[in-house]
Amino acid sequence: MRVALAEDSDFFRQALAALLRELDVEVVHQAGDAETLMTQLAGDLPDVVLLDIRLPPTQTDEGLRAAHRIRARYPDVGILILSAYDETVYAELLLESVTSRVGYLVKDRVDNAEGLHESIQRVAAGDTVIDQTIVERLMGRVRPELAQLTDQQRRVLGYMAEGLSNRGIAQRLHLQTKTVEKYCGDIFTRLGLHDTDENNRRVLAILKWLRAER
Amino acid sequence: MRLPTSAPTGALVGSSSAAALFAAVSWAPMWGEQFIFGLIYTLVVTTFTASGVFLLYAPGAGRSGWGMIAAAACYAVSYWWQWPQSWQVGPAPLIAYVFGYCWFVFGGVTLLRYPEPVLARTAERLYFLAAALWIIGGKLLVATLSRPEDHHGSPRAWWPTLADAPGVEHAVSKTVQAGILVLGLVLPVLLLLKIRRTPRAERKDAMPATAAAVAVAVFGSAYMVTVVLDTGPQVADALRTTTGLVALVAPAAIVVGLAQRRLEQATVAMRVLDCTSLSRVQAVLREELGDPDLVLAIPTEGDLRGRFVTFDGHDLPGAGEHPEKEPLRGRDGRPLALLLLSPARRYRPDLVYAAAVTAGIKLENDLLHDDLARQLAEVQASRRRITEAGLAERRRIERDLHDGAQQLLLAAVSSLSRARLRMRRGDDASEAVESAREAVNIALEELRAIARGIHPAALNNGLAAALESVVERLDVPVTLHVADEPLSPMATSTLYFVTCEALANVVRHARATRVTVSVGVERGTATATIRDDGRGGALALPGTGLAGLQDRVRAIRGELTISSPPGRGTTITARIPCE
Repeated sequence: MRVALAEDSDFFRQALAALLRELDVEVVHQAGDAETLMTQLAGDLPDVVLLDIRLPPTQTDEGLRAAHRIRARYPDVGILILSAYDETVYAELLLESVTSRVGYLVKDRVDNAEGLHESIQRVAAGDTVIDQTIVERLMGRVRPELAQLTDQQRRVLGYMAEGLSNRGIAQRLHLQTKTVEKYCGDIFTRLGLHDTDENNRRVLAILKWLRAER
Repeated sequence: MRLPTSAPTGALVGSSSAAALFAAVSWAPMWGEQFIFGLIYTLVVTTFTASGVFLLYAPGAGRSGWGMIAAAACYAVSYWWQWPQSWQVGPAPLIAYVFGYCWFVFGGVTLLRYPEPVLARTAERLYFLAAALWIIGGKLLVATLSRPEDHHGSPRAWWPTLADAPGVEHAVSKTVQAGILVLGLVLPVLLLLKIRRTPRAERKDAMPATAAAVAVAVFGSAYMVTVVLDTGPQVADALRTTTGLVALVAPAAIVVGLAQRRLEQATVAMRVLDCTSLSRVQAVLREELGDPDLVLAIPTEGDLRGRFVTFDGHDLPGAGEHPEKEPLRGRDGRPLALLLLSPARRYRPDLVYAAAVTAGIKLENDLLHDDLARQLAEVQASRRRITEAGLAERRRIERDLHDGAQQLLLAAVSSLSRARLRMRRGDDASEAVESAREAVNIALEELRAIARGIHPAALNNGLAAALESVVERLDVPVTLHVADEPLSPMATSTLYFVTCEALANVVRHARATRVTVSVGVERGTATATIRDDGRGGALALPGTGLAGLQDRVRAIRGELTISSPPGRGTTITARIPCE
């Protein structure tokens, strides 16, 4: 596994690089801003780019724009946004402009080395990854439709929102993939959503549904 | 000059009743035969008196009122000749004979002086002097040449007979009467000339009274013609009656004129007060005073000794020495501006006065309003700047927290994750833990710095301790005098920030070698003074730290002064009231 890192805080970038190396992830590029990263990518493509959302020069959503450019130029490179904000809006914006092989994690995820590693691997494998804190917060809102779901159904919905495939969910919950598929069908009917094969579209639909004010 | 007051009702009723009673008694022997004319006679006497009293209370009319009252008296006595012989005793016949025609003179003077009491022309003054002398002197002369019986008097009446010369007396008498006729015919001419030279604005005031006077003069002259020519009693009686009736118009005209003037004063006042700008005030004054060259001169300084400008800021050289000027005053009598009038023009002083008083009030109100509006705008702008500065400060803190402490703590978490990973594998984790410790320590340092920016911890131990810790870190030597007085938290933190910002400016810009900071409390005001010996030239330009300090100090009703002459150091003083 080869990754590139774009993060303007030297301390955090070096600590993260050290952690990734410990996980046998090769950090091929390190950049403090998007332009440097783009130059580095031109020479040698990694499997996944880890991008801070807030980068110089604007210190706002430079990372999101860089993600868009990277995907346009290098469709096979996975993109994992690391953000200090656990903002759903940013996650949705990301999923809208980058439709696969993409992830949005809050930086706190470095707390769990294995989880981070798994997220990188999933993005590299083509999945969509949404940070579980974002999903948990959205799921925590009082919604009558959510209250009608069983605990197991809610668990499945959460995993779907985090970007897990039906097979991934089945593994987590020690269920048959068929059973998970049935749960998905029920949940989508309950929420009034249409199921879709494409993982990214499914995540986006769920996030939008969860976030929508009703 | 004063603004009009109403004639007191008591004076009016009293004098009119007295006049009516006097006339009724004077007519007593004639009521039976000449009832209708008696009514006219009584009315003339009464209304002349009443309008005279009115005039006495009208500003500027002055003695014109007495003229009208004298005219009433003369008119009253002019019919005493009809009294029966038993009444024609003592001075009565002589008074009636000498003063009878004088009502023309007094009434004429009054009407010519109306509405402006000054007799402008020497010719007019001469006319009335001549008329008075001719009538009184001529009649007295005739009296000396005759006996009372010749003039309806009884033989017992007082009479200054020197020689009884009927032939001479007749000739002199006719001459006197002819003279009176001529004088009577000249009066309308004078009145018409006067109307012609009256400013247009005043003509409408003068018109009714003048018309009445002209009519009286014409009918009176016609009556004189009958007297001179001895045309017989029927014509003379008819003309007397008509003259009496016409004379009734004069007092009415005077009262109407007075009311009209009051209305005009009120109109000037209302129109001036209605104005929305100084240019409008000037335009209205030009219209109302009938002077297209009138100028409103505004002093640039507080008093009337300095320079003057027009309402739109053009210079007005020599305004203070203008020959015809009226000061506009505020309610406390303080002059606010000048009204420059055309010297050649004649003005109605009462209108000018009314205009000046209301324009003064208007100006004062507007100035007050402008002052308030400016202060309010200043307060609002300053509040907005403080709010914006507060928001900017919050953004800065958020950025500091995000870019600094948060990233460092994330780095520490990351390193700790790595340490855990290594320990699980049985590897040495000390290097990873060391990285985490280092990151946490730096994060702590950053958090302290941020907290110090929000509320310096040192302030908890008082201003002196806080400033000492600031001064310690500076490269410039600073002498610190901080009085040991308790201050409110607001005053303490404001003075602290003022001092910090001023010191930061000294370090950044002043190239100073010495700085003195003194903080003290005196008579309820806390003062911080920061003085350096640097290159000076500091300005509180908008957006600068100094301007921000000014806002901050003003927000708690204090003031910040900056004295910074180039090359001679900078002194910044903040004064804050302590409640």
